[in-house]
Amino acid sequence: MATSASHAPVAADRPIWSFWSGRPSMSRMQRLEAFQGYLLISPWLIGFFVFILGPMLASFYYSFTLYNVQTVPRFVGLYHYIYAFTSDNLFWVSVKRTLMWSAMTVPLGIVGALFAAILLNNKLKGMAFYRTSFFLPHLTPVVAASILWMWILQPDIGILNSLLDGVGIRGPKWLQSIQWAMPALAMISLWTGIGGNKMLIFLAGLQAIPDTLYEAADIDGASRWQKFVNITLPMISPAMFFNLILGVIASFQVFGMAFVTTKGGPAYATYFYALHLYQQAFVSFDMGYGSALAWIFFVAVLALTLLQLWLQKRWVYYEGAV
Amino acid sequence: MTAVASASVLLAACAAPAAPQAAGGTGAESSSAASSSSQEPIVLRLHMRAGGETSEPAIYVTRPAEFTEETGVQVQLEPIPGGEFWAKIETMAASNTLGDNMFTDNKNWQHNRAVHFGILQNIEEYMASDGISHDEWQPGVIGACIIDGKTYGLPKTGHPAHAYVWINHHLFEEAGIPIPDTYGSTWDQYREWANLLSQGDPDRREVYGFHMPTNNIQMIVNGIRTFGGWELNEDGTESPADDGWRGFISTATDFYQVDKVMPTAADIGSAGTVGLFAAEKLAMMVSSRGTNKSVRQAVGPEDGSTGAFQWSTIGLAEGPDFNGWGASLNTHAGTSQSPHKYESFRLTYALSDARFAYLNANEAGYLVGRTHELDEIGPAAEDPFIKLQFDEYARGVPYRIGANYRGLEWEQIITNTTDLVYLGERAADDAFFGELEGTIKDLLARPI
Repeated sequence: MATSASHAPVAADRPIWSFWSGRPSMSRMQRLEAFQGYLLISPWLIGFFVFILGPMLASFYYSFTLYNVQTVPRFVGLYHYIYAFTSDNLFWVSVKRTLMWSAMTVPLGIVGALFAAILLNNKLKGMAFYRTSFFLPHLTPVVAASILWMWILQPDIGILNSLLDGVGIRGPKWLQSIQWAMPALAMISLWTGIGGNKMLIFLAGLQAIPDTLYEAADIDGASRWQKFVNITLPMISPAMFFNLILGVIASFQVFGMAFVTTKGGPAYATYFYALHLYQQAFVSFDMGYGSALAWIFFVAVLALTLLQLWLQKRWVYYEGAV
Repeated sequence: MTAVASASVLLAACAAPAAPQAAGGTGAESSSAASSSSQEPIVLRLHMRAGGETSEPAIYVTRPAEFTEETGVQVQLEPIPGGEFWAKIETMAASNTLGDNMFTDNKNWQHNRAVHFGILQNIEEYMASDGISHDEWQPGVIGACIIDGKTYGLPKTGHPAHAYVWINHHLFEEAGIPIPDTYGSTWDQYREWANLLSQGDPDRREVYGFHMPTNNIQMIVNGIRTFGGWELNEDGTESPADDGWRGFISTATDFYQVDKVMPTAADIGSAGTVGLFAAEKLAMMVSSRGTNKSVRQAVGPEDGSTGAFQWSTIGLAEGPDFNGWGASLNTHAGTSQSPHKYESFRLTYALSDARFAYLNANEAGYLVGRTHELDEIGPAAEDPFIKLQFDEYARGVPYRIGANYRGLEWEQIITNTTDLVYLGERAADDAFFGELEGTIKDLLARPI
């Protein structure tokens, strides 16, 4: 933050630890400003400590204990972590299902959202209506969407199989089929997700691309596909990267749809990691193991995110970057 | 406040609670000193599953009101949605904010888990001082409340769950099958009848011959026991794949995959099995007590006088080595955290006594599990389904309980694993049963 020559550097310019580092003490005015600043952000700080950092620290502690809520936690070291990787069959089942889910929904979600954004980036009459229509499914609560789609995907009387019957195709048993349960959930997820925030971010990215680039390409005789590949995609690569990171994290956290529709079945076909964690912590009250699963998840997602951040150098183009 | 101090306070707040109060007391013991000294009326907080006031008013409206008239003790209902009932109860227990009485059930071993952690109060001494004998209830029913020689809660019911078969007389007559007697049918007969009753392409039946909910743990336990097996060994550490397991799962697989006479969950549709039965698309249906009321509403009375067809209920096949129906217990047990232990015991008894049985049978159409219940329930005793229930209750045997009380995980393993055979992905062979046994053994070895 720039400071005026007529004022001494304000307290906000100094890092917080400098107040204890033995540097020259602050003036009364600086201390007052600092106090006011912290007072104004204190509601958020209290919320952060009470509802985020505090529980995180508590769960980290519990992950090294046997804790069933009713008795005092008993320290067991790395028992839960070792159990997860070496003895819990459902741990690896849930990891596999979650990775499959992510591989299925993230690329489709990004491509679908980009396609929707390209469609909505046209100057047509009624575009506000179209944009709203695309966005509305995203506003549907997860439980409501799940129940709605349970009816649509009902094998005997659901709309989808009725339509397929009409063209001579015998629809699968969708949510009751081991092979089709996950694709069915993916369908629900894409219905709610394609027109949502990812699309909005792509739309903003598309609208930020200077027209001059396309005009220059036209002069050089570029085709539509060439313009898309050589102009559009590089220019929206930061938006794509952002959507990829958030999309991967969200896909790993899939829970609500499976909890409402399939409860992880049939035959564990939709038994995602978050469901397994929920089962351990809130059904079996094995808070220690549930906490360990949560921290394993945190580390995995962090590692994946860092990997993506490292890889971005190879394909993300930032305008103005050297 | 500094960040470190804040974190310390939060960790302290998250520390485990104090141990629950010990249960027990004498019948002469009255309410807590605070209540008696303040002259305020005693109010008992009753944790119940939400919706009970409208669906079961005899339990949650009528009888508590009578209890208040009789004793002067008020009852305050505290509904909790069924899906989160036990999570909330355990949280309240951990934070010492539990009320005086609570609904419990042992379908997934929660009642026993609550006893293990000292959440429920032992009422042995109160029963003795008030002259209430265990003989008031059927042995299999009260037996589910007795753990390590002490009684925790009294039965609101201890029903045998899926022990009844509803049959469509019209479809039986069409298929040329004599209407079976109430008792004595066999699994072989069900398979034979189901094949005669089923109509249409096997892969897309117009009428299914038979259904039983193989994803319901009460059905699974009863099914295993009818084939002469046990759901668990005696110490609750294993579920050996004995004749009961193999017989039940193999039979269900035959019904699903070999004869294709039983609808899968996907085939059932939104109206459920009662809807299929009422629409005459399902000829035989295994279900639990509450279904009778639903069938009466959907189809009409049993004699078919004002309904679509004549129907009746028979007892489920018991098999030559039958080990008794699993007694599915519900109670309104007193909690160990109640400051009014004797009053909460009296409420527990009021929701299990003869008067309660009368109200419950005449309103809800099911029994508590009392020894002389047919004499206590007045006009409801004439109902043939009530008589059938009474006989089935008498053959109830308490559930065997897993050593670590992970009942819901146990159920999940069984239903997800058996899905593989029921949906035709695997054969119900030795390898399958070996894997199932091993998975359950690993689960039951987990810490509590």
